Amino acid sequence: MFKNKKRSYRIYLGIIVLLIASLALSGIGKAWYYFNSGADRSRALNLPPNIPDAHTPLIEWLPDDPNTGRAMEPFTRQQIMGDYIRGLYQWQLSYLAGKPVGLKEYFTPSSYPKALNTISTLERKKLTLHQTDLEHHIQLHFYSADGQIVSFTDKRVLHKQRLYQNNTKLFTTESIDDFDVVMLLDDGYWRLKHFVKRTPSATTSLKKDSLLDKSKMVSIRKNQFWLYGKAFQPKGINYYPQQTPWSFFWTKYDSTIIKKDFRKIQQLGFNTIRIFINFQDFERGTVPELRLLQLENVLTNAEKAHLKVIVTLFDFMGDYRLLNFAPSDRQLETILRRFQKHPAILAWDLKNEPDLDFKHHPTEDVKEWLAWILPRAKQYDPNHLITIGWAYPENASLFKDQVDFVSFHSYRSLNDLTAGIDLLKKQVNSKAIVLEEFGVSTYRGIWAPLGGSEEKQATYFREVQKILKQKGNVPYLAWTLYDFSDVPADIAGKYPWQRNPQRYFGILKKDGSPKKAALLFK
Amino acid sequence: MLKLDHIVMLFLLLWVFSRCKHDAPISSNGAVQLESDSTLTVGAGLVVGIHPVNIPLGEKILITCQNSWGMDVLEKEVNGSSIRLILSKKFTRISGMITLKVFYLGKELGRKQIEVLPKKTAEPLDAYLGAKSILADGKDWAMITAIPTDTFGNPVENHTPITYEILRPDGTQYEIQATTENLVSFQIINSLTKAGKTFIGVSLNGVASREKELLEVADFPVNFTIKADSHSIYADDHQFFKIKTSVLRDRNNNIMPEGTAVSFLCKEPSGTGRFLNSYTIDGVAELSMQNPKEAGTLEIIASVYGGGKSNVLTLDFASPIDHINARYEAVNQRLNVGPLIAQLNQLVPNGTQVKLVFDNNKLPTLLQEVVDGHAYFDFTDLPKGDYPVTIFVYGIGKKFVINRK
Repeated sequence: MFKNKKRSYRIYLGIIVLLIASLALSGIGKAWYYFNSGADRSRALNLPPNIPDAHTPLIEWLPDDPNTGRAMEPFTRQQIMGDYIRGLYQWQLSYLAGKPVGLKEYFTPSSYPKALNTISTLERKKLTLHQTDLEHHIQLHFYSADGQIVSFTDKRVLHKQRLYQNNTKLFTTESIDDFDVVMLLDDGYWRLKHFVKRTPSATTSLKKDSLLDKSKMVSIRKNQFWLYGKAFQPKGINYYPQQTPWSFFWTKYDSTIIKKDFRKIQQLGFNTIRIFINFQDFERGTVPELRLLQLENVLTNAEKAHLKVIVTLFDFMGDYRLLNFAPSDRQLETILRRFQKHPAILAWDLKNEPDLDFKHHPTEDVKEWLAWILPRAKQYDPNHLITIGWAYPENASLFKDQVDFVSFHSYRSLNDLTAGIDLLKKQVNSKAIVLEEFGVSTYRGIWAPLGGSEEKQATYFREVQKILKQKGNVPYLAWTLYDFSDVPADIAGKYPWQRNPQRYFGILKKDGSPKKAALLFK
Repeated sequence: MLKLDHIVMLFLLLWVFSRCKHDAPISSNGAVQLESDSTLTVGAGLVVGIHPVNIPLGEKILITCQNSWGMDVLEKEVNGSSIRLILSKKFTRISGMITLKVFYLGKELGRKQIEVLPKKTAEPLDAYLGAKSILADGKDWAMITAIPTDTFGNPVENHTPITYEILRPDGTQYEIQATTENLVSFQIINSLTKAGKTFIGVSLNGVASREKELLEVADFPVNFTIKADSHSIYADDHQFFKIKTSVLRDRNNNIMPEGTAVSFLCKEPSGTGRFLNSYTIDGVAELSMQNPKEAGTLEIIASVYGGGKSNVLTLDFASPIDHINARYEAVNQRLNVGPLIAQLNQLVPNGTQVKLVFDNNKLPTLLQEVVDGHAYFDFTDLPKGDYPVTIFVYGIGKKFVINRK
C-alpha cells in the first residue's frame, strides 16, 4: 500500500518536473524569438484589421447599344466603373461594419436611404453579412449629351455571400443576377440612382481564351506526362535564389543569378523547377507590369536551360474571406492570361499547402476559395496543367477531379511516405500524382545536437527515389536547391529550433558547393 | 474511497465526451418547396408557402429575401407540413426580382424568384436638360432625359409611353411620343437657325415635369462694319469720339447675344497700336476714344474671337495749331511758350502738353502743361550760355535758342 503510494507520488512529481521544464524551455524560446524579430507594425500603430484597399472584380464592357444618345469616351467609362465598383465595395464594408462606411458619396439622396435600410435591418437582427461581387459584364444603353446621366445593365453579376451571427457562419451562398443601373454625375462622383435586380441574362463573356496545339505543352495521358509526343518524367527541385529566398525573390530580383542557377540546376540532372508567386509581392489584384516582366524573364531563362516550371500561385495568401476573392481572381487572370502560351510552364500550382490553413481558417472557407479559383484557372489558361500542392497526402484527393494531376508534399518518415502514396493512389484512381516537395535538413547544432548530416540527407533522398520508383515512377521535386542564411518566421515557425533546421534543406551549401545528395539526380 | 487518479480519469472521460458532442457531424437531408405568386406589384403583401420535407418538427429554418437593395433574413420554426411566410409591404416596396432562399443547417434547400413590378408614374417626374444652351446653327443639339418613377421611387416599367411637348424659337410647337427604355427616356433636340428660347414639357399618365428651358444662341458673327460718330478733325488729345459697330449677326441673321466681346485694334498716328475691348448691347458694340495728340491718320479694325471682323476705319486728324509763339524772359529766367492759339482763334485747352527738347541731347527733355494759353519752362538752375531747343505742341515743332546770361 505504502509502496504504491510512493510510486504514485514519484509519477506525479515526474509529471510536474516535466511540465516545469517544458514551460521554462518555451519561455526561453519566446524570449529568443522576441529579441530576434521586428515589431508588428499593425499592432504598434493600432491599425484596423487588414481589408483590401481596392476592390478588383472582373469588369467587362459588352458592345454598347446601337443608340446610346452619345458615344462614351474611354476615360468616362473608367470614371463610371471606378465609382460604381467603389460604391458597391463601400456597401459591402458597411455590411461588415453594421453601419454606413463612406457610403454617402456613391448614392443619390433618393437612393441612399434604400442602401442604408438593408444595413440597419441586418444590424438590428445581430447578423453580419459578408458579401462580394466578383463579375460584371456591362452593356451601355444611354449616355446623356451633357455627360451627366448614364444607364447600363450590369449583366450576370456574380455575388458570393456568407451570413454570420455572433461569429458563427449560418450559411454561404452564391447568386447570379442582372441589374439595371442609372447613375448621375453629381459633385464629381458618379452616384447610383437606380439599381433594379433582374433575371440573369444568358450573355456570356466576350473573352475567349484560345486553345493551343498542346504538343508544345506538357500534357498527361494515362497517368503519364508527355512532351513533344514523348513520355516526360518530371524530375525537379524547388527553387529560390540563395541570397534572396521567399519574398526577396521578386523584390530583389536579379536575372543574372537566375540564369546561372538554372544552368546549375540543369547540370545537376533536373528537368523541372518549382517557383512561388508571392500574393502580396505581386500586389494582390493589381499586378504591376514589372512583376510580370520578372516572371517572363524566369520562364524565358528556364526555357533556355531546358527546364520546365511549376508556378505556384498565391503563396503566403492566408485570407479566405470573401473580400479577398476578387483580388485573388484578378491576380490569377492577369498572370494566367499573360502566360497561357508560354512553353516553359509545366503547370500552375494554385496554392501551396492549403491544408495547412485548415488549422487557422475554417476548412469550408479554404475549400470554397479553392473551388472558386479552380475553374477560373482553367478558364484563364486552357493550355497548361493545373494542380494543388497539398501538404499531406491524406488531403490531396480533395478536388482530384478538377486538377490535372495530384500533388502532395512529404516531410514525414519513409514509411509514412509509402503509406501516403498507397492511400492516394487508391483515392485518385488513375490520376497522375507528383511528390512536389520532400527533403531533410542537414542541420546539426545547439538546437538539434543529434540532427541531420549530409550522409543522412543523401540516404534519405536515395530511399525516397527508391520508393517513388517502386510506386510507378512517381515524378518528384526535391526541397530545395540551396541552404539559406535566414528563414522568415512565418515559414517554419518562430522558435530557433524550428527555424534553424529549415535553413539547411539545400542540396547545395550556402557557397554553392554540392552536398552529397546533389550527385543523386543525374 | 475515491482516489486522486480516479478523479483525474473521471475528468479526462468527461472532457473526451464533451469534445465528442461538439465534433458530432450534423447533416440534413431535408428539402423544401416554395409556393407563391410569381409576380406582384410594389407595396402589395406577399404570402409564401414553404413546405418542408424531412426537417424535424421544432427545427428552425432560415429564409433570406434578397431584393434589388439588399437582404432580409427571417427565421421560422417547422411546426407542420407547411409554413406561411408573409413578407412585409415595406420589403415589397422595391421593384425588381426578389430571390427567396431557404436554409437549414447551413444548407440551401430551395429558392424561388418573384418579380415585383413598379406602379404607374408618380410626381415628381425627373427631367434633365443638357446642354442648357446651344448654337442656333442648325447643327448643334441638346438632349432632354426623363427618369420617371413610381410613388416608391422605383423606375417605371420599360416601354412606358412618354410625351415631349416642345415650343421652338420660331414659334413652332410640336409633340414627340416616346417610351422609356432601360429606366430612361430621352430625345435629342436639334437646333434651328433662329436664336431664342426653346421650352420643353415632359409628361406621362397625367404626371408632368417642370418646364425646361433651352437657350439657342446665335452662331459666330459674320463680318460687320464700324463707323465713327461725331468726331472732331483735330488731334487735340482732348475731345472724345465714338466708334460703333453695325448690328452683329450670325449667318442666319440672328443678332449676337448680349455681352458678346468685340475687340478693337487702334493704330495711332505715332505708329503705336493698342487693343480696346467692348461688349454688345442689342448686337451693337460701342467704344469711346480720345482724339490723338498728334496730327495724322488713326486706323481702327474690330473683330470677334472666332468670328467675323470689320472694315478698316481710317480717321484723319489735323493739328489744331499752325504756329508756336515763344519768348525767353530774362528777368524770370524762363521760357514763355504762348499764347498758343488753336484753329478757331481760341486758346488751346488747359493741360495741353508742351515738350521741350535740347538739341544737343545733353540735357533731359522737359514737359509742361498749358495754363491759360501759356506754358513756362524755368531755367534758373541752368548754367549761363546759349541753348538751342525745339518746342513741340500737337506734333508741331519750333526751333528756339535760349540765351541764359
